[in-house]
Amino acid sequence: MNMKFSFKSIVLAGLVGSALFYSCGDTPAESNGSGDKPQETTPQDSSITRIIPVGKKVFSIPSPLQLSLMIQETGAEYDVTLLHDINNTTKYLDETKLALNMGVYGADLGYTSIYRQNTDAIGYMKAVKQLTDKLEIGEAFDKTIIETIERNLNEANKDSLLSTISNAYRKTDAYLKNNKRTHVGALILAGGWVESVYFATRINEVEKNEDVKDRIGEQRKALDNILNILLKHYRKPGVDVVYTQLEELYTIFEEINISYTYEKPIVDVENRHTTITSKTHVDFTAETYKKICDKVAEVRKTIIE
Amino acid sequence: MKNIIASILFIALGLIGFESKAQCDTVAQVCNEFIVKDYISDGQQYRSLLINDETAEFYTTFYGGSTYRIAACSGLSEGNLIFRIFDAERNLLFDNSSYNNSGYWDFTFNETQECTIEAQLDNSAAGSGCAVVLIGFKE
Repeated sequence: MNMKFSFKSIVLAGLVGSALFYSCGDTPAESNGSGDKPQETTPQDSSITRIIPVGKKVFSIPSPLQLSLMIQETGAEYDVTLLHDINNTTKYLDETKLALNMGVYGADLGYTSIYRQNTDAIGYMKAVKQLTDKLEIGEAFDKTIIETIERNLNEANKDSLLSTISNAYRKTDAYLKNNKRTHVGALILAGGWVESVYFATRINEVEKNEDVKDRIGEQRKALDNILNILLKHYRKPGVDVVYTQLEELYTIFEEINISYTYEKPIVDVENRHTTITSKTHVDFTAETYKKICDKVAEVRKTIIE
Repeated sequence: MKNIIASILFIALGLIGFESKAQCDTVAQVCNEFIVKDYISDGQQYRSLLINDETAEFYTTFYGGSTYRIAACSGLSEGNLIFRIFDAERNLLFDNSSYNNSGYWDFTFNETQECTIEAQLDNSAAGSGCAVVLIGFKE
């Protein structure tokens, strides 16, 4: 009897131990408890056909700041009407909305900071802070970080300001992963991505810049990664709504033809630097482009309303 | 007696979980030293616990016209993690094992590319550990 108990305990302990051990990573098994085998998802919505990938796969989204920096480089003027209303923070009550809009406000904070619109930036920083408090992740986005951002806003160094904002989001990301709240981190990423692509689509209505248009087309893989991250949290309240909308957007992105030609990279060993010279060509019709712009605006509206 | 054994096991396992998180945090701190001030973090921390020859895969997009620094770490010193970068067609773009398992490397992408970063422990250094990958971009 004692032996039986010990064996059961060890098996149970092994299972608990495995769960705890792997909780550090952002792997599919961590979130859905499905183990290592690949499996087709069985969500309530039969339109979901993605396969949860096997093994230790981690999906990454480019920083929203990079798109905003590119927009600034085109010479586009600062446009405050693109940004979300900072007075709306009180509207959001559930975790999903709070997290999505923390991503939105974070992208807005980055945009205002890149254009050195200090008064607006302070407003967005306060909005982000309010949402972090409501999400109970104030420990990650703490007072020291807020003070550093405020200090950097008053200095001429844009780089250190952007670094501070990015580091604050990375610290938040790590905090959420450590505390088994990866779904919150995923929603923050999704909100930030939608807002930055929204900037690009809206600004390009005026600028008609081919590079910006290509950059929008190149978001297909980033969106694919977001969907893969969100899928792991599909059953969390409210995630299905944003997932479904983003999947509809992805369907439009699939109309884009991306061709690729590999070329051998050039390595500079002394400076630990490699130049990747392969060619990528993005080709899509004006109709597809318009559909993407309209859908992005629709998704954003759902997030911020 | 049963309860005592169960409690001890539970506490021990809790400590293992706590230690694994702490290990990842420590590795991330060490790795962050490579993202020097010329580079802006992409705002995320990619981590995966690896055992023996397991491989972690990090899927990402690198924008054309941008320079990135990729830092890949495990343990407290440079050189414990092998990382390779493949393009979407599985062509090998980079392998740090050709450069003494360098803990970081800079990449300029002439055009936007979808890539997979694969990370694996150098088994001569460690049997298991937390792999952390950080990405920074240059303005």
